[in-house]
Amino acid sequence: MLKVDSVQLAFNGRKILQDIYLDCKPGQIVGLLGRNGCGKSSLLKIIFGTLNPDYKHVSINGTYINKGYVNNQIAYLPQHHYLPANIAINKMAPLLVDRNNWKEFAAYSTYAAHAHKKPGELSGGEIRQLEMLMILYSSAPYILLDEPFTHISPVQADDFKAILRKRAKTKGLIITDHQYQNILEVSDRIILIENGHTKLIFRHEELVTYGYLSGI
Amino acid sequence: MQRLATLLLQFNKPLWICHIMFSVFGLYFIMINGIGLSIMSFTLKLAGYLAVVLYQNYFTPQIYFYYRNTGNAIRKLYLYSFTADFLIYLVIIAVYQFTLTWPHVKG
Repeated sequence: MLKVDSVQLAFNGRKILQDIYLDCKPGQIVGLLGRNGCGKSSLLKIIFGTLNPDYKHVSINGTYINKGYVNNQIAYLPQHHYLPANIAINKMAPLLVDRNNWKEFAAYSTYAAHAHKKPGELSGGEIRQLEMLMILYSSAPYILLDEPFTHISPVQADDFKAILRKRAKTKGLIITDHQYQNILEVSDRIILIENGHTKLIFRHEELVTYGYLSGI
Repeated sequence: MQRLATLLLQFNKPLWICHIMFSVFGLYFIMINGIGLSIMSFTLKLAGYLAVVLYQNYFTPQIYFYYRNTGNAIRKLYLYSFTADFLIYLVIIAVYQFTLTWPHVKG
């Protein structure tokens, strides 16, 4: 189980995160919601190991981890494109994708159609789909997805929700996006970040109570 | 091992021009000032490494996430890359010195 506890993060004296707890088991999708600037992306970077907070305790199966990405323990889809623009997709994918799942990954038309191209030759939406697929099919047991539905059309988002559920059978996923309806639909648990605190949401109406939504 | 080698080749793709450029500067420095000052040329190489890191950190820091998602730390990749380049540079200096002094030894 991935556990994140006691994270404290401040920028210029302003406390962003101060009372954070969340956990995620393989087989679960945890949805992370919160207003702009509440620290969702910062929290994902802290778990991944690329942002150093004032304090954190991140563990996997009881073992403390400092850099989540070392040895493929955690994979992370950042908000922005992360693939180098001048290397062919079929040269990068084998280094990211788990060998045991390669056939399933390579069968996706998104990959097959663009395998020999470089990211610089693709549209923003096409790159986003490929980046998300590569992360979901990586060997990491825990996956962090930061705004995965950005840049993709509603019909593609539906396809990806099915892929998310399929991959979540063996992996733990933590996902955040401003398209909250997609998050509510795909997540097993919802956690709201408000004023630096995490709140476990049991009923969608609570999102209105806490001021995240104006109405449902 | 093969995965790491492939990854290092990809990591070095935008760097090798800078490596070659600073190696040429360093060698030119040695040609002018002599092998006795080769240690000074190492400073040029170090400046080249610093320039590479600053360039990547400023212009393309987002691609670091690709390498991290392969399970590798960026510092490790830079270390391997710079070590390999520096060893090549030492070999180039050795070959240059050998070819320079070989006729005298022979004679």
